[in-house]
Amino acid sequence: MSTAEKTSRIDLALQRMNAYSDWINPIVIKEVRQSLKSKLFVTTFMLSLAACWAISVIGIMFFWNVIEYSPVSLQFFICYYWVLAFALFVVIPFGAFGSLQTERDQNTFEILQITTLQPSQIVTGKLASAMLQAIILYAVIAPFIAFSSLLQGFDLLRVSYEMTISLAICMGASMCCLMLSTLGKQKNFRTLMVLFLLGGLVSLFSSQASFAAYVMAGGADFDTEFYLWNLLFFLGGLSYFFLFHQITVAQLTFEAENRSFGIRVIATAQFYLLWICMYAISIMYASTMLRYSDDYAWSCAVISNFHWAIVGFFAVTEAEPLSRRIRRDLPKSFWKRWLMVSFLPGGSRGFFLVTKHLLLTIPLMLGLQYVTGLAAGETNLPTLSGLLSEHKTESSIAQIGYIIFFLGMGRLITAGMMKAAPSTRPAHGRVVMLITTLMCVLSPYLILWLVGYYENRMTLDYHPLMVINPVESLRYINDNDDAMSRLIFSFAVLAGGIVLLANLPGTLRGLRQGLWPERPDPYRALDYSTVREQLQRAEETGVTAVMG
Amino acid sequence: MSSTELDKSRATSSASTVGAPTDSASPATAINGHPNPGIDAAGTTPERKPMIEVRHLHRFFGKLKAVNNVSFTAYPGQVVGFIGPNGSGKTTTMRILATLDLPTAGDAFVNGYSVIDDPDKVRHAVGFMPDAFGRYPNMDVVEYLDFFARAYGLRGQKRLDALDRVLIFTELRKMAHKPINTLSKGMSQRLGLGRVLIHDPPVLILDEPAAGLDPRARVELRELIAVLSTELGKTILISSHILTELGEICDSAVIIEAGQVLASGTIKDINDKHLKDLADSKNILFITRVLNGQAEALATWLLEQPFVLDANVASELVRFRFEGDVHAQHDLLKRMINSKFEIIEFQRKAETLEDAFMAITKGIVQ
Repeated sequence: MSTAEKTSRIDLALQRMNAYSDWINPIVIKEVRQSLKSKLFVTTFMLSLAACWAISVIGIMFFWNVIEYSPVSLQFFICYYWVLAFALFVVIPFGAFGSLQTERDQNTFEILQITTLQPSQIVTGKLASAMLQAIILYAVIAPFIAFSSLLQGFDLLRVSYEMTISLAICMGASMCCLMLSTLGKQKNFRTLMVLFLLGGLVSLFSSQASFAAYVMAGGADFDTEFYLWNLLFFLGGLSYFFLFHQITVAQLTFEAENRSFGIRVIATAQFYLLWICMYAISIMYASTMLRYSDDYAWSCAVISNFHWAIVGFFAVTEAEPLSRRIRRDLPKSFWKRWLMVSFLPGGSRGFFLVTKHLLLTIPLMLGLQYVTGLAAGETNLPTLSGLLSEHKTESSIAQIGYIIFFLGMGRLITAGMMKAAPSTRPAHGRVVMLITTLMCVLSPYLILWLVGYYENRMTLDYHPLMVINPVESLRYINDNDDAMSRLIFSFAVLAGGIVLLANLPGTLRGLRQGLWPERPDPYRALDYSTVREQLQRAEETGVTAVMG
Repeated sequence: MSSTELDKSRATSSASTVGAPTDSASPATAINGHPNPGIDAAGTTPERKPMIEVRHLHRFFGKLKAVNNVSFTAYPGQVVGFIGPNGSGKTTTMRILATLDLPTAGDAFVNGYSVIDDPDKVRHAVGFMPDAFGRYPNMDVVEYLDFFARAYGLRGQKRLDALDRVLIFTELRKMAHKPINTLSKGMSQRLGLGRVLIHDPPVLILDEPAAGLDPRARVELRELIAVLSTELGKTILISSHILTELGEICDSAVIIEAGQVLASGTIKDINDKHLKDLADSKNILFITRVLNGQAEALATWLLEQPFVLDANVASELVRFRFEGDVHAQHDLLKRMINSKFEIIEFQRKAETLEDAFMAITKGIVQ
């Protein structure tokens, strides 16, 4: 083949590559170009390579006499893995954190924002770049693993397992770091966050390195249960990966855009995923693992309730008005709007979403108890009234009552604050909600201490004043089945019900906004009377042109 | 609201059509399919579709009224100077136009699209160069431009053509493979200009593009901007503190202070109005040059003359402020010559955009 032919083929290949690159996320191309020239990546690459060479040479010298017949592959692999793990769990996630942080610090993010790239593309691009870097580092270590495979005692299954979950964990850690990089703008807060993050990543590295050594040493049986747990962890991890992705995207999106939709959809999907998995497990293990477990359905309900408490903490404090952009993009079909209304931003719609799923938890929990019994082949299946009157069911319902009470109070307080002072931000509402909850938890102790209730008492009895303290009250219900526990249950249900009713008008208004939206007319601003209305509203309620 | 109230509010608002061209054949056009009600301060209807239309724009940060009822329009091929002291609301207005911020009230349209409702469409139509834009580390010039070409969705040959076009226009071809963090300030500004041109937007918003540039780089940038408006028909909104330069680049200007438009129109209109104001005010600055170290003596003499408000000396020059009319000016000059001062120059200081700016703005800081 002549040189000219060779050149033309190279040109052709380059042209094709160039054409294919058009379909790759621009951020990936940029990040990879930058990374390959960055000191951090080049140093990591060279050090990893040098460390692997050093391990090989030192290892061979150390095992010189026994290397041919002794199973030393394990030791070699673990040493190589530790080199890779440091890069995967510390360098790459921290690089992802720095990458987005630097964009914001160096004013490059703004010029990125005004391109036609969407925030989701930016986040996905950063992640894909982290993954590419990880793959390059895998390529560094691959020849050394190939070398270790030639030695005695190489376990392909365990090595493949470790390498696969390491990549998944690296991606998860990078996603987490990207999300953290978008939180907080204050320098002190960010410095503190960097310290915590580094600590967390180093802990991840050390725990994962230990886990790898445990797995490689045969510490885990690769049986059905092992795969099932891995599948559950994978599904759970994947759901949080998407949740963090949505949170990061929301943080990079303007307030006037629909920032909550993706987060709420993922949180809801997590809820259903949890219950599907729990039902599946109950069917599979009803007659073995779960046979003597009375707490299974209750534990699922507790996890589910905590999930909605956290989602609600953020969702119910959002500002109510739907922006012009959101209203304009709402579907024309009423039924589609009905389906998506609770996922739209706004405290009232958030409260509706959380409440309906908290209430849905009760039949799901009862159903799980029933299905577990059915799958276990029990002949004496419980009735609905029997299930409802069970002690654990009452405890779970009381928990739901308390969550609705605190979230509902939080929504009412935040809505009131936003009405009184238009400059109130959702974060202010969250702080107030947190303080209110803490006060309810701590004030009974303080009052009882002030009146001398705790003097000369060896054991701390439950005092009726503690009814406003959800921690003590729920603990009491769990441990006791007496008149007081019934009283606490009744209080929790009543308090939740009252707050639910108090929130009803606001919730209906919020739903109406999403179901029958006022379609915006962008040309209203050309009329000054509209602008005057906007200004007056901005002053009184904080509703701006963007929202109104 | 009654029609009188509406008229009053329009009068108090800073609405203006900045040097609306009158050579268009098209009648009053529509914005995005809607009738264009854009009426300027004089009550005339623009005859061409405006590329930038800012209507009653307000942006408040708490109690700070950063932009307070700003309205203006700009047409294709116009270079509009956006002038104002620091903290006057220029950058905030520009950021809203670039979809980086949102208004409290009012709206702004770029190429007929609302910045509130259609930010994606606005982004296609706008190239925004902020006053301080970051530079990516570990990237060379062509990689930087290539990235933004991709980010604006240019693919295949279109992307390569755009890169070629921009590298040639900004004369950065020789530096195509130079790391961007080694570029001089002037070259960085060229790169910034290249970035905003990469997707060939009809509207450019340049915030202080000449800040920190040496005289040669400033002249070169000025030439590039002139080509962009005259030959390529771009609408350019440009802010700068170097007003003499803006006077040369721009055909019209909007002067803003404390978030409100104080004056707008063609540079000539603003200067003419300002000259008239100065003439009416009878408070004119004169400069006199004398020989043989007579400057001090002339200054002392001038202070004894009627209508002279103050006089100060700088080398051979004597600057003095005079509040008399043209006849009084004539008398003063005659007396000066008769007093045996060896005068080689006597002139009324020429009014520039800078003078107009100084006269119009009051130095209000919010």
